[in-house]
Amino acid sequence: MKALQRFWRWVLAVLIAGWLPVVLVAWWWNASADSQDPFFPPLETIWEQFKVNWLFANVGIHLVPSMQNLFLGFAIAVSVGISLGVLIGASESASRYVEPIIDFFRAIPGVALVPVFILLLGLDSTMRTASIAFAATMPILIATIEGVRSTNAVLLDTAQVFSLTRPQVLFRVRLPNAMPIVFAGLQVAFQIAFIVTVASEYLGSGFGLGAFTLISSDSFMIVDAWTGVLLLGLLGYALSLLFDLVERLSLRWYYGQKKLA
Amino acid sequence: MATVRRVLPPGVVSTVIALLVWQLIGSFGPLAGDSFATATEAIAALVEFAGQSMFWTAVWETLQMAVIGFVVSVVVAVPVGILIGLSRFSYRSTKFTFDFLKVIPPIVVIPIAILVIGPNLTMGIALVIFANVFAIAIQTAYGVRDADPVLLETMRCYRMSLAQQIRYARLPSAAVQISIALRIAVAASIVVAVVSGLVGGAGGLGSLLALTQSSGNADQTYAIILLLGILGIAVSRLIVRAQRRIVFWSGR
Amino acid sequence: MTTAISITDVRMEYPTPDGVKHVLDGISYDVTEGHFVAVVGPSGVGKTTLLRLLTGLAQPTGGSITMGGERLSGAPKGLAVVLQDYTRSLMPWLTVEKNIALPLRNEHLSKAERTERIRSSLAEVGLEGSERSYPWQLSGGMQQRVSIARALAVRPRLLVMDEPFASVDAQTRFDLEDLVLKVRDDFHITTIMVTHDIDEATYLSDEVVVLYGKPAKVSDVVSIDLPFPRSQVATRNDPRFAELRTRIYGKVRGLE
Repeated sequence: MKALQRFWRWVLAVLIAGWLPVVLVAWWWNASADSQDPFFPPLETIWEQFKVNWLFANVGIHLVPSMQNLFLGFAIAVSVGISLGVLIGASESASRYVEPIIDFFRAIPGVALVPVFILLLGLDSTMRTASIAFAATMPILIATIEGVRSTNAVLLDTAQVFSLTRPQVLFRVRLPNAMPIVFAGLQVAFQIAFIVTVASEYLGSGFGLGAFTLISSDSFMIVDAWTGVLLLGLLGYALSLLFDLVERLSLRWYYGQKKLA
Repeated sequence: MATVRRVLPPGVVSTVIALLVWQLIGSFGPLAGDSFATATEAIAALVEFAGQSMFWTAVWETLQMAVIGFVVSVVVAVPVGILIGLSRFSYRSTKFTFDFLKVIPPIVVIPIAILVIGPNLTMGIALVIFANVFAIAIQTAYGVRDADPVLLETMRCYRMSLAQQIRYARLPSAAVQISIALRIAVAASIVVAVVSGLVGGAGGLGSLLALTQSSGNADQTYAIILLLGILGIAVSRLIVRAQRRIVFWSGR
Repeated sequence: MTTAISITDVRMEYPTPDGVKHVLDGISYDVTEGHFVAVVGPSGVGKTTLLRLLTGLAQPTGGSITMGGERLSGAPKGLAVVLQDYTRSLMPWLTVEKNIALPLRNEHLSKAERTERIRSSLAEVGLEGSERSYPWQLSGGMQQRVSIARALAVRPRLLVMDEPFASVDAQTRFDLEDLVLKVRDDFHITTIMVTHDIDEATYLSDEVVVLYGKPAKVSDVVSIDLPFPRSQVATRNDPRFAELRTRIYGKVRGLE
């Protein structure tokens, strides 16, 4: 009986959340059905072409390279950003020297540096990954330093009373404590990485989801351009969901604690 | 060092040190060379730009895109957000859709926007609006819903009407969320305006940046980047101060 | 001695994922007009649930609560509340003055009358002159006084308090308890106070209602025959005080 109730509650939640998008898509489908406007082809046509393009013909040529660059670049950014951030954050002297520079960069909204990195490093595939990595490292680095430094004094005192060694304090107290702040930085970094991925493909040429979409647009292959835009949009959303899931799993203790407060 | 920092306003020391580091990297590091500009070279190029009307036109165009887009987003999104937030049903119905739309970076829409609107200021404005409107609306709605239940119950005990509950409890609560959303939106507006120019040809500093970069002029390129950095910091400081005023009670 | 509120055979239950939870069962009690009644019982027994029924925020599953002969539907007219968490029931973005003025909006007073009510309420709780302060600029005890002032300003027929002194320190608690006694002397408002502090219940009230059991029933109604005016030192040293509180304590613990 309990399971049945929970099932129906879940169905209700899906209905409440989902009716609006369904209605909107249906309206779009209908409104565009007989469209003569070259820039707004019928949704049905777009859908057909979407299937042709992305299920699964061009996945290997365009989608995979984009995702490879994105994830590789992000992974590099995470490793470099967190390791460097931990080292700097844990050392009193190092952080004091670095702090003014960090302050300077912290005020610049992360995404503002996107143009910088697009330009700095050129646009072939290796260079794209490098720009993505470079762009994403900064917010992670800043967040990690701040997270490690901001461990609350009571926890540190307790650790000292228990005679924990410095590496122990670092890995068992400071780092876990820094995680919520680090994750906020990771989220920003991931958004930046995605944007830099797409931007680098716009500006460069050749392969990648962004490249495909812009080239289609330039060549007035409008339906293809629409399929590219739709896929990018869906991808952006799916990736952010994925990120949220990872964050929720990793920070279970933090969310649990927040609920009590 | 510590005494120096105490005497000068906080941003100055960090800026000076950052510039020094930049100068050193540019002069002696592996990046030194024609494709990189040192701080002094960039500053010189920036000063030179300041005497050119073409530059100021670009600045004006970027500001137009950012400001008009921002204002339109706020004027549309805040009332819509408040309306959505008033009822649990409307909030839960729209949340998924708005969360979806707010996450899509405007850069993704550029290939179609270029065709439909054209690579011009209007496209830039449209992209800025797209970037902000969903996020501001849903965050406003959240603020309206998020009013403290203890406060609302107290008001119900004192037999205060629904309209009074909205006016005195839900709206001030929404104000906190709105100020957070606006803070993000101001920064996003500038960035999207620049990126529209850079990648979409919409004009302004972004397009100028694309021009200087493709013609290989490192000094000018970094001059513009420096300007954007300064702009970002200045705007960010202003916002924090404005936010503190509006939401003086919440200690955020 | 008229009855202000009649609680008749009230039952409260609500559905949970694990079945129906019975909180209150057959609660009957008549609150005498002008009396100060304390409701005590073990943690989680349902004191706050009962309070929500009395304020009309919830409806009983069975039985009825009547005030002046009419069943409660929604908050009764002339109700004022003082809750435990003053940080969440006062509005941090309004001054003390505006906070107190808020429920007065529905009283249709002239501006002069309103200002005078605010001034006199603040004077009653010992906070005259603090109209322009913000709640968060005041100490916890002072904020709770503002809450009480707000309750007084509407000249309520019924004052309901939910563990009002649980969030302040012990010293402040004694001051606030004496404030409540003073308010009682000056205004004779029918008051129902939920508290977990048995000493406090005995010290302040005319009658103490003990709730006990799962589901909760009225385990005892103890008449506090200690003389007024009461004082922290004299009354608490009175042997009768000890007798009464011991009896109440026993009932709360489910003994005898």
